[in-house]
Amino acid sequence: MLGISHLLISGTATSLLLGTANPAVIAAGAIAGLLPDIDISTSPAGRVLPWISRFFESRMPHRSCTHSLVASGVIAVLGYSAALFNPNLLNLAHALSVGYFFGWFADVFTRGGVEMFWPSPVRCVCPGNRNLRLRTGSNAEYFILILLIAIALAIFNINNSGGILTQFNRLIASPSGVQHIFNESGSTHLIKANIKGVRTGDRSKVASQFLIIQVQGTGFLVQSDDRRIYKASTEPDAQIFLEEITADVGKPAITNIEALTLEDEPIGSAIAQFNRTGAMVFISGQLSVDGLETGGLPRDPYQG
Amino acid sequence: MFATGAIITINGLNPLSLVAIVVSAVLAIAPKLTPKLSSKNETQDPAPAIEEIPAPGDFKIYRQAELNRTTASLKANGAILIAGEDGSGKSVLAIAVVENLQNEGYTVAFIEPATPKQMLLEIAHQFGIPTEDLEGKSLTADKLKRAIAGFLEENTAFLVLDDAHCCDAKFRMWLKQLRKNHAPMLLLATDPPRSDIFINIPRIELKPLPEYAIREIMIMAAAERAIALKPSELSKLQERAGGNPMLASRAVDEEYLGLELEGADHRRYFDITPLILLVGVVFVVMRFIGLGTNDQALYIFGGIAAAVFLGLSRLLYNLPPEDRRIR
Repeated sequence: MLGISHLLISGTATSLLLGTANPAVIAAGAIAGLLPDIDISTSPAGRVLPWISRFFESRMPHRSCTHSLVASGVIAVLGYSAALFNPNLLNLAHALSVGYFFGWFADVFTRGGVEMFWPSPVRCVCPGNRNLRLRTGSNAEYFILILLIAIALAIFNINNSGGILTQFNRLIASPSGVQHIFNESGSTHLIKANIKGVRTGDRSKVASQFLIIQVQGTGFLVQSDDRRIYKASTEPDAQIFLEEITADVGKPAITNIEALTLEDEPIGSAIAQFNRTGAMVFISGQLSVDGLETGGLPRDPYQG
Repeated sequence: MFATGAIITINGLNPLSLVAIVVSAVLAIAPKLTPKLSSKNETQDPAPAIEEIPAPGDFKIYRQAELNRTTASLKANGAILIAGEDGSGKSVLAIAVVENLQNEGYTVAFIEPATPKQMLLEIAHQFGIPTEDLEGKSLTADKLKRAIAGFLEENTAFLVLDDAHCCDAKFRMWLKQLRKNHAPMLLLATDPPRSDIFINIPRIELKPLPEYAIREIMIMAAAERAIALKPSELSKLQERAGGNPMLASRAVDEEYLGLELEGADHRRYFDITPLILLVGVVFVVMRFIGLGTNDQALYIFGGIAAAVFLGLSRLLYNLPPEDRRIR
């Protein structure tokens, strides 16, 4: 298999499994994918470390010891041992292990196969028919290379915008996905929900962006751009019945929760203390009034 | 070591100091280790030194244990079957056994498959049994069989039959009758059936040769063809040998002829397509985790991925198998 194929496979696998778009980590994984070929001095890794390659090539067939689960285990032990002393190296250790594994595992699909279970000399291949396996530098390999480039770009893009599950949540547009994003970033960022659904009052269509205030049951309390608050859910008491909901992480914002107790006091003066610049204040709780004629509560049929 | 101590004092125990320890250890040990390593190579290391490799045309027996066991078994009036794949070195072993026995003064008939009559004539010829009667007529096959059986009863002589799997059933039944009369014989066969004479006598199954032996054979083969192969080229060619000495020589031949090949004919290939199925199973497990934790996305994602991988494994299972013939 060509060196560039190894680079692409290992880099893509590292990005996919670690869910990262960090170029340093992906590059480490991709380069680790070239390491198994150190058992031959004509490979890129062999040219960089000729002493090691000379040792292997004078004793073993190509794609044997270094293309095995044992070698992967050794690399993982070395990587994670270094990470024990310096936790900053943990991601690199992950990348090294994943990149190395996929570096040799890709050779399973070539005609020669690999001694995956070394020291057992069995050569593992897939598929069993050698005519259907890849030949180095063949047209089939170049075709797969093009496919790999497309897959790699797609995965880097997906990881750059939040990871596979986040993108998948966006695709299926279910409340559980939005809950996941809200749980993850709700305490540090504003979470904007793109809601498609109907108002439960008259079944008129809703398709706009709302700010998520909090989770309620299986739905959310959301605020529209005109500052009206609704319960958006699939439950019977919802004001907006959800059909699709996706979420985007918005501007950074800190959430503070403060307690307020009122006893026969005017509400206006009690909540005036929260009138802070740049803050969004939401008050929840129980309010008992003697007579509704003095209350002056807003009447919105869609919020009722 | 002093520098290492200083580095550790300054940095504390971290990867940098670990690297420093390893480097200083290597530097400290290397001068002592180098002569030891070279002497070890000379005495114990199975990797071949160039002087140990026989000159082109010479023969080196790598299966000494099998050779000794076979010779001893024959001398004890026993019979033995040596089974192995094509090119595993059965014939080489047979020739070595025959040479050993002949050097010790025994009578040996070493034959290869032909028509039954030709084989009987060859055995008779090698044992020195007359193949004509008193009237000058050639003996029939039955008479030859009786004459050979009689000779083996009266004399200490050995029968060695290479490629015994190619002999017809009647001839093998005659061998079985000979064996009932305790005639010592060595049969060599590729994938023999589990029946008649092959099931009646003890067998040795030839294992693939170790990698160092294969490398030696390839170096010898390259020397015979007067081509210089680098270790990297030998390492690549060795992939195609799979512990089979004939395939090792063939790989050198193919290199000599400039044929660019990657696949090989040895039997060490193992299809790991079922592993793809295992990946599918992992995604099924992920789906159940999604179900249990009420994570809808994980549930759907796991389900879709499991379906894709299970479908892929099914597709790989249904790919056409490899043709047994060379095309």
